Amino acid sequence: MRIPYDVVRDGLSAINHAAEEMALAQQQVSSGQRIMRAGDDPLGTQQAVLERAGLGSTDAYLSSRDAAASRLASADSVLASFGDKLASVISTGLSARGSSITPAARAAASAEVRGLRDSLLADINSSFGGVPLFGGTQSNIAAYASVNGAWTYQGTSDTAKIEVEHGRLVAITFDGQALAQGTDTADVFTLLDQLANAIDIGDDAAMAAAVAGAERALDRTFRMQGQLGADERGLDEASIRLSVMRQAGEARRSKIEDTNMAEAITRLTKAETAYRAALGSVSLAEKTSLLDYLR
Amino acid sequence: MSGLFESLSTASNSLLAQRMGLDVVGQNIANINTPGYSRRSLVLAEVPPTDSLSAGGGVSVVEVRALRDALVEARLRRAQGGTAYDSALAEELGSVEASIGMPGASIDAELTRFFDAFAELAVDPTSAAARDEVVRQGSALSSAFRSIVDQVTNIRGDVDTSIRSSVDEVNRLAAEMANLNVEIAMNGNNVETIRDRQNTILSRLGELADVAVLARTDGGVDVTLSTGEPLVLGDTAYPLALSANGFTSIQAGGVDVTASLSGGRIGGLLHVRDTMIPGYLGQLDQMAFDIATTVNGMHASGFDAYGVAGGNFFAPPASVAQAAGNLSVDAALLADSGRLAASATGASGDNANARALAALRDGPIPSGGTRTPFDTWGQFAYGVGSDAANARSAASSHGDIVTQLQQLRAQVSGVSYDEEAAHMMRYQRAYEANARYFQTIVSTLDVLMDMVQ
Repeated sequence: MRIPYDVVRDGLSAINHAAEEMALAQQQVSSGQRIMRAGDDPLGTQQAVLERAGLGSTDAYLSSRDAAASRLASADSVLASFGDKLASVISTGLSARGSSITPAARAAASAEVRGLRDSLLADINSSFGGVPLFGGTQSNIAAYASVNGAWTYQGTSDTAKIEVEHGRLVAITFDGQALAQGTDTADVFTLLDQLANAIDIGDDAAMAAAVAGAERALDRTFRMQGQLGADERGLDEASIRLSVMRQAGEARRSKIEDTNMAEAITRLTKAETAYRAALGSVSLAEKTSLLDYLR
Repeated sequence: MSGLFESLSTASNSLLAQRMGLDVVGQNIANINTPGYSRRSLVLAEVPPTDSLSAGGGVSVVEVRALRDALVEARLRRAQGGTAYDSALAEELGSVEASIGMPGASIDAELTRFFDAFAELAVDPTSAAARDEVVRQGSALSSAFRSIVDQVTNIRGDVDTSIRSSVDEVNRLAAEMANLNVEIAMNGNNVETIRDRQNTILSRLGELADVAVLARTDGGVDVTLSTGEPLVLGDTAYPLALSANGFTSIQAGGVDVTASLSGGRIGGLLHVRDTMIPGYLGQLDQMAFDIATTVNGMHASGFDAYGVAGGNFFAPPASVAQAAGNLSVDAALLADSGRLAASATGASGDNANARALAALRDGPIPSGGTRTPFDTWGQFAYGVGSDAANARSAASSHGDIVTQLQQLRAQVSGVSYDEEAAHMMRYQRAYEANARYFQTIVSTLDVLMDMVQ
């Protein structure tokens, strides 16, 4: 059988093929990317899109978690202060009762109660980033204010919530009326006004009723703190779960998209050897022919 | 009985024949790198004796024959057509593949940033910066869709240009083939050089389009499209006509044959231009339409920063067609991000609508469908990548078949240095021997002449 050797058809195509393999391996090693175009691994590309989407979703949840955590910490601090002040109110109200209290002491106690009322008002009107924490979904007005001489809740009973992991919502604003009034007929500020007035005139029965209202407000504060603490713990747990999910997702993404260096370097070495062999075989095949023996 | 002068004539003819042998060797070696060249072989025949006492009249040159295998040539033409089809697909789909980008650097990344912006807005629905960011990311997503559509449309235009130039080449080759048919008919048997050119043209025509070749009795060939429309009949070429406007349509004899050209480079280019790219654009349009209508629907159910019911987020697409190429954020929203409907109740601090919009990233975006926007994009990227990989693989395997057929052709028609060197030695030695024989006869004649003196 005649086998004419064609340096272009046989030699150059072998060299080109080996060079292509080497270039691909080199590119993978230098870029660290296993997939350079969708056609390199179509299924891997599809999976990488989905893994990246999952990572994006996890990152968004982590970011929301951080935002929620800072708001909850701020609200927790406000509630702690609120509770302390209510405890002071109760203590002051209890100590102002009885016939042995002097008018000067009553005046001092009522002044203290009024001061605590103002301080509690400042607490419940606290804001985070300009948004009231206890105004529900109302953002552009203080939660409580005196309107025509009456304490009025200006917020909403709805609260703003954010999703901190799939299907888990956490409130980042709170219903101030649920804290200050609950199911009582009057809010805590009205009660404190009534308490201060009762201290002024020495009305023990009214003082007892106001102190009882303050105690219920303190209970509500503790319950809200408890709920908030549970949410904070939930956020910490969610953070751990999200971090683990992120690590696992990143590992899967890397496995799909990134070069396995050991494998790529081995392939590069192999491709380089094949390239040299192709060059060598072409030069060898071209080197010798019968023409060399003609004299 | 022959005389010494006849012996001189025999030696002279033989010298001529061996020299022609050397000429053929020279021609073969000279054309070893000429595309389409078929090696030549000298056919010699013994000159028979004129009577019973004659040894014979020496040698005569019968012909210089070109060695070809018509079957292999035809199979090679068909295989080259298949390779050209797949190569055209692979080249053009490679461009489409590049234009859709890689995971994390394309529409999927813009979608992530778009929904992230809504999630940030849900954290702080009163923030003007967060509102601006959502609008900005909406614009970036729109721009990404438009950019891909532009790139893919440009590729479609480039493919159309390639179709035009390929058809022009077919017409030029057909005209040349008609001329060769005339030359072959005029030159009778001395046509091997023309036949080499004929084969080269047929090979190139086979690469460009799916053609059928019919041999004529005068040595020429008729060439038709596989659907029967003539390209060359004898000395007449029938050029394909191209439409002047829009994407090229191809007419043969006044009949539109665009849809029936399914082979060769032109068939591959037409398939990319008329089937594959429109399919990709259609998928992009559907995706953009679904995203725009779903986001618009949810956005309209909320309330903006002024407590007014939400309008459109994206300029509402009139239809699925061209939805991706025209995707843009609604002009009113672009002018004032306060019109972004983050609230579900109208309360300024409510974030429920922003939260619902952010959650669309994990929800089925297409109306009535089950896929998230990322599923849809991933499926699209898979489709394009898979088509490109299949085309490359098919081009490679067809290329291997072509290489094998080229080797088969070379076994018959290729020039070998070793073989030509052997022939050169053979003709050289024969020439030397005949020259010596000629000298011997001349010496013998001298002896005879000396006897006469």
